[in-house]
Amino acid sequence: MTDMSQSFSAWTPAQRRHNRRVLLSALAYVALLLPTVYLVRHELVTGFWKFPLALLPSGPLVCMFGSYSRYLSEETDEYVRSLVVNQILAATTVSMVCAVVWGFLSDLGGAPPIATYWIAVVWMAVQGAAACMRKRSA
Amino acid sequence: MDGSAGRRCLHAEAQRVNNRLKVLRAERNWSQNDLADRLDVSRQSINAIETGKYDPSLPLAFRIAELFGLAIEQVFESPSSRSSGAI
Repeated sequence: MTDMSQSFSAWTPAQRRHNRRVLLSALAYVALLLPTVYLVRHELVTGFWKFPLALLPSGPLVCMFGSYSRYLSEETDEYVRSLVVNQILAATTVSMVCAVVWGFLSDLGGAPPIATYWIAVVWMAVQGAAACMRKRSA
Repeated sequence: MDGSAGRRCLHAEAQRVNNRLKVLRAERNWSQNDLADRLDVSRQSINAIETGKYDPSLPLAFRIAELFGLAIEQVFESPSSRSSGAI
């Protein structure tokens, strides 16, 4: 518990605001995704309205990525900002490599195509893993 | 680690700016948290600077020097002067 309270207090004010925005976006994402999938899978919405409905879950994720941009402009602690920039660099490198490799595999190699939102999932996962590794090594 | 990677590491190490932050802080009986509060940065920033993991920007280096009432070169040592034996 002491370790946890210490790690919470180690967050900068900009990090706390960013974490709050990301948490709210994640909750909004789940709240929108589940009913959207239900409506589409059960064909309760068809025709034109499927298009705006399909866009709904992407809104919170767009906000989540926007929060990273806002965080980098708000963070006044240069060392912490440099660490987050390195995490973002690692996440972008890995997700872009995955996107390019899988793109060629599916286009020319016969591999099954996958939805492009998985690139965002890979980005988030690598970013989170890089943050955990950094905290462990600190 | 191959030869070129080893050379890159040694080169990066040689480019690091040495500093007297830990000594100056100890002279005043300040903890890393105390110094971080005075400079309005995180404690992990102070730790990273003291252990040589991170070189502060010029504005932060000036703020540190001003806090201790010293000239910047009395707190930070230039890597080039270290290699030439000037200090």
